[in-house]
Amino acid sequence: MTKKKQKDQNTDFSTPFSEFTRKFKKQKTAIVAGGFILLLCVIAIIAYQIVPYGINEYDYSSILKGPSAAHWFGTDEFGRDIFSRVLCGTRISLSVGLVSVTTAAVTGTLLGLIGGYYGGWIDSIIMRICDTLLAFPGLILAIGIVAILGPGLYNVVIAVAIFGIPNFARLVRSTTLQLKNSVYVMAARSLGATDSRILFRYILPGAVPNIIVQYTMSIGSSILTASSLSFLGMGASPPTPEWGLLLSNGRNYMLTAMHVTIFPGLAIFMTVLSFNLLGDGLRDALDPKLNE
Amino acid sequence: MLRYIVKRVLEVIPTLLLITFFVFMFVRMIPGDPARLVAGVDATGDTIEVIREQLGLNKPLFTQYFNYMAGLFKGDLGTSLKTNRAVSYEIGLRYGNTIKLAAASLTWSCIVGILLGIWSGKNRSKWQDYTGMTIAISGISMPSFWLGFIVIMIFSVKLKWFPTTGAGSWKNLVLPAFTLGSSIAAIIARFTRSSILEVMKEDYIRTARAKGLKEKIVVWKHAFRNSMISVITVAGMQFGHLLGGSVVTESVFAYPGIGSYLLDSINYRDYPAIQSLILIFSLHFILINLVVDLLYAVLNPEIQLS
Amino acid sequence: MTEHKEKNILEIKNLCTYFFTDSGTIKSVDGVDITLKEGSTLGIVGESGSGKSVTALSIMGLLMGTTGKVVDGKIILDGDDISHITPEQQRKLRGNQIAMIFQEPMTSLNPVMKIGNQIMEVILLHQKVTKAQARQMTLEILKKTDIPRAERIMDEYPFQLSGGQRQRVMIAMGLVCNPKILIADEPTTALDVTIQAQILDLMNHLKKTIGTSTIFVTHNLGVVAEICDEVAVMYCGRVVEAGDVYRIFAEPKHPYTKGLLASIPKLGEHVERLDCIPGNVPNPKFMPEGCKFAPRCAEAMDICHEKEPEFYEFENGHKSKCWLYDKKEGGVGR
Repeated sequence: MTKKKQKDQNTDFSTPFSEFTRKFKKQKTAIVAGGFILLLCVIAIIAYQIVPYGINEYDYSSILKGPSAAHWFGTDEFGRDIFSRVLCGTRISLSVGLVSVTTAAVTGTLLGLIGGYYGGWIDSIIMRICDTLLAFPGLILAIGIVAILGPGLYNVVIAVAIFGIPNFARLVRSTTLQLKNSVYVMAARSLGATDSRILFRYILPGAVPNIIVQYTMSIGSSILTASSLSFLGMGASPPTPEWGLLLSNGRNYMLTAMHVTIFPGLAIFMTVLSFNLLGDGLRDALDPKLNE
Repeated sequence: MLRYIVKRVLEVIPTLLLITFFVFMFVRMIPGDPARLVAGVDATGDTIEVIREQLGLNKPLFTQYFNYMAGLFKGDLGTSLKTNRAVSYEIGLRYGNTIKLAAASLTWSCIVGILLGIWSGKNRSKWQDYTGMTIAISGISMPSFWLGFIVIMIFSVKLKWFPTTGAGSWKNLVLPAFTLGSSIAAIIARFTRSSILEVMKEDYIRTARAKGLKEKIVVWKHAFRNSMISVITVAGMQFGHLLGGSVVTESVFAYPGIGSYLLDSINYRDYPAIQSLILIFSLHFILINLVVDLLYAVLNPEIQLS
Repeated sequence: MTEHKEKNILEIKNLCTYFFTDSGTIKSVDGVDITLKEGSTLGIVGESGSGKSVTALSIMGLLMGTTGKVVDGKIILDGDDISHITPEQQRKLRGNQIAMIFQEPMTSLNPVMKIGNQIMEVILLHQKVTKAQARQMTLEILKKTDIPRAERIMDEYPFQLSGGQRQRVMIAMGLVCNPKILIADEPTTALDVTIQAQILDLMNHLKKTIGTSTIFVTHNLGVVAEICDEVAVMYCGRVVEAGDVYRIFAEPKHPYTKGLLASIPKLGEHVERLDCIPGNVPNPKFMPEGCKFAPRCAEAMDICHEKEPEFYEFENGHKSKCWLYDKKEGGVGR
């Protein structure tokens, strides 16, 4: 005899988490995107083990050949297998994205919490810094930072992280401002909670949904910025198989060997697209006001 | 309202000063010795010193800054270390091209972005919405240099409709403007859609329907007019992307504008040029934000009348 | 007894409006019968969730953008069956033959359009007049709503007006095309008590001068007493009692109506505790079998929990849906 669990008046409620899961399960594109990202993570970890050719394996007998059974993405001007190089580039792009955005998120969140909660001159300074950072058009700022620090992937990470801090700071700050005067925070204060407890146990959780969405979207844009910088010659240097660099390699062969530019670009596109789709799905699932 | 305008304009001035200071300091932080670069690889220490003196690089920083600011007011942006001509002249050669490119890109991206956003928002959750938003999200996910290459390969190389590089006729503008504007159109489309969806939930939309207005009028005359304010603000914010993107796009298309000039100058360590270019970029950005703020005041009756 | 030939300007029979959400179907309005006599004011009373606002929106056809659909029922406006007309035909009725005003005057007007333009818009839409004539008509209707400085207000924006003034504008906008029916959905609920009184006075005055047939949706019995000629009491998407306002107040028949009236504190009466109806309105996803009020009813009988009652008629159109009045089932007609 099967026992069916009947929902009745007393158990028909839902927690925020179950609401989120229910809404998220309906975002089919986001789920597919999430799956793809997991696949990318796996590739990033095992890439060097599974690639058919070495990333620096020159083969002068098959230069600039198009896609074939032996070389799925074709070869470049040194006969290197592009498929292998693109696969190994996954690790670079993902780590650059994750590290820079995590740094920006942590720093920005702290700044936003402190500025929004304490106000006064701390807030003014933090806001001035953010405004100044935002006063420089995005990529130009990143170019500028890399110009000072010198080219190279590490500096690209730093540049992208700095570039991303104001977004998180402002986001968290505005949530903090909203929540710090809300009734439940006042109640906590009246019970004697310390400032840090209020910040981290009460206000921060309120900002988490927005932070998560911003985080996911930022990974996409930071991968774009990083590959743009590499494309311009300010990021990774050869022979690193960074996607932007692979693309800029190919520009000399646009007329004769299009595949050299197409596949790395496709990799960037698919990766960034997945993160953006996932971010959209998360935002729709986390939005309490979304009527279905 | 006049007070608001004046206030906003005045607020810009300290920001401008801060920017000039930052730009000045920042360029000094770029590694590499410009005097040595100008002197050449084989120059001796003495020659380098002479050049350093010529360029005024041995004076204390403060004096350099002062001279720099003084020069700015006169419109003197320094002399290019690479070509020895006035930086203002070099920029002058290229500025017009970038303006044309930026204007073309911004125009088409605003129009297409707004139309796409409203089309999607009006038909929420139907095929129009999914199509529109798929296009939009692809637009923001695509690296512009990749899009540029694809567009070149299809329209320039294969179809031979447009030239690949250079500037001069309107044909030179089409492909770069398309490339530069696409991510902006995408962002505007997404934002317009979410703005329209929010506005459509407001009570006065229900009132408009209760009056018996056609849905088309409800959307355009009532909903969009209220969205427009925030859409314009967002479009203004995209201007920053436009400026940054121009560096990449001009590089891809070998388009002779100030974006590719910035890249060249950085590679050459041409201090005065880099300085002036970054200043110009930031200046434009601030000015556009100012214009957007003022436009906001014009469109929002609450500010107009207080 | 003189034969009153009163025309029913609106007749609603068995209206059912359901909301189809992902978490289930909500039967917001489930079998509502309403008649509105020409020239009179009918109050629809009920708690939040009783379905009164949804009824109003269903009549107007304003369910777009929600998951709600009218699934059954007949709506007859001045003799014409408008239950199955096309959306375009429905649109032509709105603002023209049926007008509606809403609860929140602060947000119901377009913030970036001038007041005059918003009213002129509805005139120009439904009537063939020139702009100048429309402007004149707007001015006249605004004056009729006792709004001070009507000329100036025409060129002002909503944010420059107070709540009471905005509601007057809404009323003007609703009446300007001389609709057959005006539906007012809790128009005074969001206003201060003193302003409430002013608006009710205005509506009473307009009732005498213009005489539009009105449906007044509210949860406030005091307002009903002030302004309505007839009342329909709603509970859980159904009308449970309807009739002349004096009779209902003097001799309520349904236990729910009795409970509502009993819970109003009366001036001069000194009580230790306020009377209230025990229990809660049922969760729309878990409606009880039989009469929906039975779980909370002190006079509930066995049949009440099994089957829904029909209407039982009393004098002069007063009717109530309650087994107590069924001669067979044990009610003696109290």
